Amino acid sequence: MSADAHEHHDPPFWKKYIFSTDHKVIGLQYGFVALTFLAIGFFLMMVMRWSIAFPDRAVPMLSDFPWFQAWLDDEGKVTGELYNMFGAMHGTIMVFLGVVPLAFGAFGNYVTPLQIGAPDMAFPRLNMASFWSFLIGGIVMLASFFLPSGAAKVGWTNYSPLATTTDLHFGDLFWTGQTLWLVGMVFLISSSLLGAVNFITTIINLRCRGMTWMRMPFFVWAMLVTGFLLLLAFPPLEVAAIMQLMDRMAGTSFFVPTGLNVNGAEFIAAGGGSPLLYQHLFWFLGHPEVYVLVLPAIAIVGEIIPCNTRKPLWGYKTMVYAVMVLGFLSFIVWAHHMYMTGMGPAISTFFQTTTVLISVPSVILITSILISMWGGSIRFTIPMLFATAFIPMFGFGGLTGLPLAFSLPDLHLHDTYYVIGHFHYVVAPGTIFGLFAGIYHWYPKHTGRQMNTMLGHLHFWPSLLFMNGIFLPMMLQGMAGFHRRAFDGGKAYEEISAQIFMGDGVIARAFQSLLGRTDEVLATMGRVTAEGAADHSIYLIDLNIVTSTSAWLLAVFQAPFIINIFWSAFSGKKIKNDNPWDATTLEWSTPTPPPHGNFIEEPVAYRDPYEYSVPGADTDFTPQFEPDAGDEVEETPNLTPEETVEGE
Amino acid sequence: MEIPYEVTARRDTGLYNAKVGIWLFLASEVMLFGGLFSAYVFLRVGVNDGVDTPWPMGLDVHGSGIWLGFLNTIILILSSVFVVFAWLALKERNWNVFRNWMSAVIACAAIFMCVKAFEYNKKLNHHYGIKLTDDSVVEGEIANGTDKISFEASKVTLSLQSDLPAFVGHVDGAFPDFTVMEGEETVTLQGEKGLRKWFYKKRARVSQDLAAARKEFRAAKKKGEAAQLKIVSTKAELTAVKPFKLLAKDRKVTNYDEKKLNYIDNVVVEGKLINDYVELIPHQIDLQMIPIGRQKESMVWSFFEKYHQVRPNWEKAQEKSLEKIRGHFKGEPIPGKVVQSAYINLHTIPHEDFEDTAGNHAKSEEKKSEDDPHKGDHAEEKHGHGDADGHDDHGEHHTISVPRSDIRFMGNHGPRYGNYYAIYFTMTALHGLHVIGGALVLLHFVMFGKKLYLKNPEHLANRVEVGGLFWHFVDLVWIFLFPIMYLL
Repeated sequence: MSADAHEHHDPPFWKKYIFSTDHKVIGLQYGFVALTFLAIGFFLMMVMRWSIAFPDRAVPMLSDFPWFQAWLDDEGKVTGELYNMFGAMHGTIMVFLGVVPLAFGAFGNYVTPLQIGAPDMAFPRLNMASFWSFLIGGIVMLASFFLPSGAAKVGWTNYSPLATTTDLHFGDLFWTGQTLWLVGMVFLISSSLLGAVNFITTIINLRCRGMTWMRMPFFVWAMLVTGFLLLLAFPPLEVAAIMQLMDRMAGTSFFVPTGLNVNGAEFIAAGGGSPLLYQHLFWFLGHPEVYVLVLPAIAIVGEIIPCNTRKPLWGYKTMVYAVMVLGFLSFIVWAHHMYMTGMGPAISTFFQTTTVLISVPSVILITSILISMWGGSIRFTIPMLFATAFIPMFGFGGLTGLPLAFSLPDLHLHDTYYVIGHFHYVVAPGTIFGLFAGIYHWYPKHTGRQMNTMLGHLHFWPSLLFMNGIFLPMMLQGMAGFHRRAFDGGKAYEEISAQIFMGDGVIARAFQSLLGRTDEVLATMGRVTAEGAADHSIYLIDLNIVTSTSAWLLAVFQAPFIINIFWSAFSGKKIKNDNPWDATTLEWSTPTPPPHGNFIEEPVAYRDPYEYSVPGADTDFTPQFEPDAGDEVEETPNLTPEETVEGE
Repeated sequence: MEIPYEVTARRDTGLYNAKVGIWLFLASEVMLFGGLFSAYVFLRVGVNDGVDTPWPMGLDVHGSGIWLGFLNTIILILSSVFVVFAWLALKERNWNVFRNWMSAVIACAAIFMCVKAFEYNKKLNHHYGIKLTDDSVVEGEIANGTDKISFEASKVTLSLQSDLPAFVGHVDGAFPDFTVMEGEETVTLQGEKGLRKWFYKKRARVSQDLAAARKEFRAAKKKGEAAQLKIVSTKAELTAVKPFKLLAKDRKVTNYDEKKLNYIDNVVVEGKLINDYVELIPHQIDLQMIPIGRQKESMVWSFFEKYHQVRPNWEKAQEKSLEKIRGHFKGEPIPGKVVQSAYINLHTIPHEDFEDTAGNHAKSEEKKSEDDPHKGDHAEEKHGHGDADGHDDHGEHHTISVPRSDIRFMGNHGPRYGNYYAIYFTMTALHGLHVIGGALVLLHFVMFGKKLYLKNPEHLANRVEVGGLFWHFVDLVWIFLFPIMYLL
């Protein structure tokens, strides 16, 4: 089974598994490191959730750890500083060190070359450099926790001028969390750029014989578009990082306006900079980044659904075009994150329009996947369960984004828990479920064993329940105006909301202008709303406990998954052949695990990627790699050096 | 295992891998520099009239230096041509010709970087500007080290929860020995090394003590006992064995007086202020930020009383141009936006216009650094300090002394000085890094390419082509940078 046709001599362990240039090893490295970072990011969030649910109680267990000694307050409660630090780093770690590396780095690296029939990535050494650059970036980020200043504290977006003026009271500004965040980002961005160049080149140039553009699995298309997003969207963030680094280290004023006041004193700088410029540069990355998070998950689901419904992917071509349109549109929607900055209604209108437009291709993708299930004889394997759950969860996340797309409702919802709920529905039960599905799906390809089904069920069902337990209450809280950065669990909110309803009578006055009622009615109304507000806020604050408890239970139920990964590698059910799922794409034609160089014989794609239940066929799947007398193979012979003509 | 299409092109795409890769990489580079150029436009267009410092014209900043920029443009364009010749030579399988052309490219890169270094040096070390509290600006050359506060320190109080204090980097001359009380006994810290060693050790101990105190407190609290948090001192007092001199950077000092320097990292240095005046050899006065008509009253003039010809000459010219502007608006009030050309170039004023032009430039500067004329008292001589305080015998008429209380912002023409300089330095430095990176890669081809050339010359030609594409891009960036940084 694992005959290695290209065996030269076994390279030493460190070269084979650590400083490897093999795309599969690099993919696994990415995978393990990213999963570790996901766990770290999750841990940070759990501490924050304690502070929100029980702001008056000391954090259990942690106060004995030396690092926490310094950051918890005297009584062992979470301080605002610690909360801010964890909040900023939770976002950074989850997005840049967790989900993107797992989705793009791990799955992209492992699966893409296999699916297009390539022996490896086009630039294997660049691939290794990309991974190590990522790891250095991650280590820099983690190391910043242990500085006297702690890690970055001003939110994962690192908005200037707050980011420029934070922690300036440290003698050496380089060794502050805020600066190291920027340094870490530069490494992560470089890693993404190298990865993106490599992916796109591989997909353009290394497709095997017969693998025409429209025979590529949808996963590869999504990776191609993701690659372009990373390639073109990250450099502006690098610009922002460099400029903010200059602001901090060299004292420039790129993002420092004239007359900026910090802690009651004028900030000494030349001035004339623009905080808005930072936001533009950041969100020019930030929005395409959302699709970098989501597309790989859609792609994985797009692979798993046809395989488990035994039907072709419905609307394959439409999906390909949709994903391209999505990629393009994602570059012109960024300022919908900035309605509150006062850009002006004209710009807001433009970005509202493009934002609504981008929902069209997104809906096409999800609808196509949904219709693919229609009338299929579905096998609800563990990957299929995750993939199926992905659809409504992602759909919910997407639909709740619509009110945020319009500048008017966004004024109300901006910076509330509604926003948190919205994008977490997209990335947590959305993307992360997609990634789990991918892990369960491709696990047998590398290990030759299935992951345990019972543990899988024990992982899936509670995860689904508690994911919703976390994020559904956030929607309600957010609509009531609960601010996303309240570390005291809403004490301030309780006071403010009561004040607004009773003292100001905003709603009452709105009714007055609408209905022209008399003062008497207004007085009654004011009283009613005031009482309502008091009840309302208490009920909403109690929801914090539901959310937090769900979060901790979600953590508990990740244990079956972790156990499953290690246990099944040695004791899982052995697969019957190289193609345990009876799938059709090329990666299932390789030995298990694929050797260095992947394919024993030159792979050829004879047909479209999702030929399931072809009428008249012997089995309910006809793999791409199965020769058929009737099929034509498009020849792409190589040119000899003499034939190479410049300017061809 | 071999990766296909490393040397030969794939037929349906017509490209070999590296060529696809470099074009993609260049696309991302376009986005990188595109982002910076956009930032340039955003910042320059976003200048608020009357609030922000006006964006200077590149021509004004560089003066005759634009020829250096032009020279650099020519050099880079030439090198881009040479790199094509080098590639062509490889295609014709002529190693020696390749080596010569490629060496020429690298030589061009070296010349480019030298010119760049010269320009940087001029800006960083020979141009200094002081913005006074009424927003008038004097530009010139800083006299020895007076951009820093000189202070004679004898005692330091520092926090043990922070980083190594910033004052350590500001010590002028030999690093002092300190004594510190450890419980009952006095410990002497030998030099910087001793201080560092002691600091890190002590900091670790303090954090341990703090943790222990808190742990005790929490445990007691848990039991429901009335607990009191043990107070751990996080401050330490260091006494210098011998007073030492500090040249403190403004950015690191929050405030100071005759006896104390308060550092930004909460370190307090006690001792005696030596001098806090900024001494400048003025080249130019800039009154752009002063509203039209009030320029005569600017406080900047109080520093130029000895330059007795400067003001009348300027006033004459000023009246003329004001008349012109008034004529333009035909009696209507002049909008606040209108900026009168308000540079007064002191270079063009003949030397005789300075009172007492005895002593030469260099000599007087040397003297200044040795014995400083100002012994405090700046409160009394706030304005008109100038050169009017009886130092004529020193022959220092070409410097002015400005008390720090009159200064809003000051600095050399480095990136801090304003957004023009910030973006100039950021973009040219980033471009410079690309030049260095590209040149190193090309150098690698010349020095270590022979082996590959003998084995597979086409492969080397491909590499040179890819390197050349990058080099063209670097050239192209400069072709955009030159006009926007030097001319506009």
